[in-house]
Amino acid sequence: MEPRSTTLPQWIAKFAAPRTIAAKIKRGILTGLLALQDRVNALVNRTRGLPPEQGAFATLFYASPVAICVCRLDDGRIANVNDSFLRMTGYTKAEVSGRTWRELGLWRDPDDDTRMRRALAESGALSDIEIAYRPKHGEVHHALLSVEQLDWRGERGFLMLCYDITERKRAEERQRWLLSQVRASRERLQALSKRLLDVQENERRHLARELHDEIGQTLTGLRFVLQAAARATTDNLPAHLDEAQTLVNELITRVRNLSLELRPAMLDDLGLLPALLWLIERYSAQTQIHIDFGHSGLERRFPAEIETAAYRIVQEALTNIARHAHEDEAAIRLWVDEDVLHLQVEDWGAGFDVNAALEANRSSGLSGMRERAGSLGGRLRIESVQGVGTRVEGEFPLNGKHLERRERERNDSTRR
Amino acid sequence: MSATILLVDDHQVVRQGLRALLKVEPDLQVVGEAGDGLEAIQMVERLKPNVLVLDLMMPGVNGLEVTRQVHQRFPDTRIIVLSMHANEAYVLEALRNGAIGYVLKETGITDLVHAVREALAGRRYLSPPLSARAIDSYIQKAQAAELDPYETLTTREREVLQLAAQGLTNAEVAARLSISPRTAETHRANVMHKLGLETQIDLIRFALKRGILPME
Repeated sequence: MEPRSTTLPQWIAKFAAPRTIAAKIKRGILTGLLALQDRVNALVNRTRGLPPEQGAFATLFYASPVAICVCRLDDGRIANVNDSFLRMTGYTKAEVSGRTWRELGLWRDPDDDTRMRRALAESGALSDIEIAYRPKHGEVHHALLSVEQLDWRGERGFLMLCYDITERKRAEERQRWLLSQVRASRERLQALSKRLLDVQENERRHLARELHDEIGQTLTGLRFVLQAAARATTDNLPAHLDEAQTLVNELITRVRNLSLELRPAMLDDLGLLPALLWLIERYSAQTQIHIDFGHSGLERRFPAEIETAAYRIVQEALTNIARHAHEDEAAIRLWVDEDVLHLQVEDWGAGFDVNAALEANRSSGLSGMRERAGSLGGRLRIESVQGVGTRVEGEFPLNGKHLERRERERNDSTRR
Repeated sequence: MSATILLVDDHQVVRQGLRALLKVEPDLQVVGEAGDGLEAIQMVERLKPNVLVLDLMMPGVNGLEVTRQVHQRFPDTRIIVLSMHANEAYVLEALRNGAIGYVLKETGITDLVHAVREALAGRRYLSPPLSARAIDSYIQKAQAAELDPYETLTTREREVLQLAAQGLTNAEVAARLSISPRTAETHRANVMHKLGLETQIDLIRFALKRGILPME
């Protein structure tokens, strides 16, 4: 195809036609130019053939919000640029005159230069390719580049038109990032709700089994004993009744344990500290794991949902230690500091790969702990090093203030 | 004259059982029954019983709260708490609120009768295996301890402390830990705050003392 040549006025006229604007550049960018369209058309007709530095085109060229750069076709040296171009690149006119983009290091990817030259040779134009350019100072920016061959004071040249899209790129990236976050949390949520159902089902299974196997069996036993007692002679009646009483006591214990396992009444009646003391005592008795428990500022009631969350997180952490840590010692610390309840559960056992566990969503416990803290504006960190141990750190705001916001405020005040 | 007793439990079957068992005691007379905490307080006001036998766990106003209110407003009424919790935390709370006796439901009626007689004589009674000693040991266990401030540092804060003690600036700490300088600054401020330190010298002194910085 024969390379076309266009004069600058023609080019601008073409560029300013609404159809082309709509096709080439997003709406709004050239609103100003659009408004000038009629005038421009008239001027184009009147001033056809005049050098670009003169007349209304000069105004348009220099005032355009789009960066424009005119180069010589043979060596690519810059013949003229507008103010937008200088603003965009950070150079002065003297610095760029007679230089090439390559010399100025404007291309981040010199391949783009090659691409542009090839397009010019083939079709005489190129529109809306995305390039990355390096201004005099600062980071790499992104722009949409359109190029068109044109005659420049009798010489053959080409005109480069750059529209900076760095902000837009950033916004897009941010949007992509946000979208990925939304997607990730939706996936987490789905995994969690599935887990929730699984957990619920397991819990029910456990309850059903417990009721049937343990309590049901004991009740059956009790019925036999009472039937025997009904047929018993006066002499051995007391023995039967003793036996019945033993079974009744056993039943009471079982029912109470079952209820405590589901939710310790202490948590509601007496608060976090008594419930934790009870949990720890029971845990140590069952697992032979010694717990070093230190606390301060717990002799009070906290909001019910925080008491529950803190209790469950400690419980979950202890369960994990019993299952995986292979260690007979652990430490629990709880304290209140400036309207934040802190908790720490630490062991020096086997450790595990936290990310892998979370990734696999295999541990409902871990993500459950995290969700619990997060839903209360708090935070939970789980750190574990294989062969070194595991540390669970939780924080809960007590004044209803989200922790991150609180930190921002504190930072701002220390800066002042 | 026999002593008057008010029975409070949200389960009628429990109240019936208690009433039947107390009937055989000629010197004890059950003068009323209440099924919840609010009713209990009103009946104490009306009947002024010598002894209030009260279930710990009831919906609405629970036994602990009834104990507190009755003890405050009618100190002549002796309160015995009936409970299924053989847990010192409950006992302690009941006693603190003004109960004089704490009887476990599972230990049976002779225990309750004994507790009522002790209460009438103004003596404290706890069902075995509960004991004053067990309660003391619970109090000790529940005692808050001064926590080692170093232990209250998060892992990140410990890392920042170590680097800061080596003389790294916030920017250097940030680079080393791949966090923003602002975050490093926050961590450092938190460390200083938690450890009660004010200057860089304090920080180094602390690190040396704790063996975080090796003494050379």
